[in-house]
Amino acid sequence: MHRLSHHQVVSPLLTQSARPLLQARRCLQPATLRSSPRVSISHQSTCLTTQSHRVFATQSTPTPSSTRTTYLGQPPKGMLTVTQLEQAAATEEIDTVVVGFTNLYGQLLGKRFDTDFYLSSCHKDGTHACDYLLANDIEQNPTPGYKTINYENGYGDVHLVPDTDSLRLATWQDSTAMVVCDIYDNKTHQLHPMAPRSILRKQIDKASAMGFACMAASELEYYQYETDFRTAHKANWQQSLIQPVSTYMEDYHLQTTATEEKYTAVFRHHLKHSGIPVENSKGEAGLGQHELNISYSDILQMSDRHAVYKQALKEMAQQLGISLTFMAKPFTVSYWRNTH
Amino acid sequence: MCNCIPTLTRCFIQLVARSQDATGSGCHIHLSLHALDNVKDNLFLGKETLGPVKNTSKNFAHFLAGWIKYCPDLMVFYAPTINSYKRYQSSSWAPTRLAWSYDNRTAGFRIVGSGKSLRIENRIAGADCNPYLVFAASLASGLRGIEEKLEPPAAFEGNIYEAGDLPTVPKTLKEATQLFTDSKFARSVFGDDVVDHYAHFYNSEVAAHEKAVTDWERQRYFERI
Repeated sequence: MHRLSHHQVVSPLLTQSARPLLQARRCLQPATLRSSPRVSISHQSTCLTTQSHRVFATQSTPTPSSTRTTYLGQPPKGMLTVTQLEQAAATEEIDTVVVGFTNLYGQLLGKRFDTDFYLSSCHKDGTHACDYLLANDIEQNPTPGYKTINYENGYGDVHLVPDTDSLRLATWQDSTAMVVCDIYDNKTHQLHPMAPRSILRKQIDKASAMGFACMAASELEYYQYETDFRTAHKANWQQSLIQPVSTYMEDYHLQTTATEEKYTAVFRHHLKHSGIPVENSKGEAGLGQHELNISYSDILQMSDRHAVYKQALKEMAQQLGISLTFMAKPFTVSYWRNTH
Repeated sequence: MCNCIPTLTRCFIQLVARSQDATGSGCHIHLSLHALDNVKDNLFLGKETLGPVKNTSKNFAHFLAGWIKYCPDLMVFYAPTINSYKRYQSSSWAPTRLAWSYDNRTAGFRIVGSGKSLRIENRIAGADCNPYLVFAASLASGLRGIEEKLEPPAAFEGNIYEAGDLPTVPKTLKEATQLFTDSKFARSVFGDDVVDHYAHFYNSEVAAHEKAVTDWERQRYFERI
């Protein structure tokens, strides 16, 4: 994408405003999926069960024991059944499936599959990735010193097994669906003990054994900037060279956040249509700081929503030619820019 | 004189501005326990009273107590980066002390909602947390509280930032990683293999930071030392 300085409109997609983008991308949502009645979804459930809904075609891969997706009502808009994905593949309305998993940092990693190949191969047999992804640093250097994942053990593969309860549209990308994987040890065919999703599953199993289901929500805050990621990188993220989206502190401010709706409305729209129900968004206490809240759900699905939400916002920010950060504290002081 | 006032005012504003800490980005965690066979049944509801919280249950009190007690042990999951710890400043909206309250935003744990929406909010986690790990840590701690029938301390009222006698969250990733490594609780709920793996992960993050030369050092020393 052509990059312009932050003084100019930064994305060709936004030459008028974000509204055409919003409209245009809304049209990208497959018509059959838009119109398909949610009652047809086969895995809907109104109460938790101890049995997984997941059926693995690969005999060597055990079914996770953790309680699975619970919906108090209908599954959210944008969640897909495998049948719906098959229909969308047949009409080529979905041509890409993002197959993702989270590493130790919580980053979503994975591969993009052609939908036909996903359905004929990955859906049944999973896919593989190098185990160093659970033992590297953020620069993706293999880190020495881990007991089980190291050069001595050869950095073999882990088995990525899609959890089809997490299958959803990713409407912020063209014709794309997304699924989150559990990670299995390639040798023992047990859930990989170091994978964050396995660690949570173990605690969910414990809660289930005690007779408990757990409902959860996470409330993410983030700072956003008019400056795009590439320019911010080039500027070494210096505070004086990157421009917050707002001029004023904006805690609950409707006027200031209205000027940012060209971004935030896009975020809310695509989360909502990608299986992540949105409650609200609001300005926060920092310059350009926002909170965008999504609905609570069972704790495993909430974790997936959180991981996908972060990924979705960062990808949308790239498309919009802006940047945003989920760092806990991106800058020491707020008003630094105003003093210069 | 008239011309000076705007200048003086501007200088004053700049001085104030320079000392204004930026707000950090949090990730407040809300949890409630429900009946496995009827998820609409919120098990935090009951006939008990816990300080300002009416119509609650023993499980609620035990879960809250466990979540508070074991928070320092698992702080690496709430605050997993070097940067996470910069958020815990006094009077910053981010919690620095381990206490609970009913709808008091200075507390690390805030009880919110009532009736079917009664739940516990943990305000300690940062926006940089790994959701799977922060939820695993929260659930493990609360469930242990139920197993051990722990009782929470009395609800706090007032400004917790000024309550000097309350325990604080660990101040750095290094300190948090040491607590995690030494935690019998962490080892019993996650297993030695997982604790060792993640302790190495966070220690590697600390080591990478310790050898990095930062902007702050150049701004402070480049010309003046």
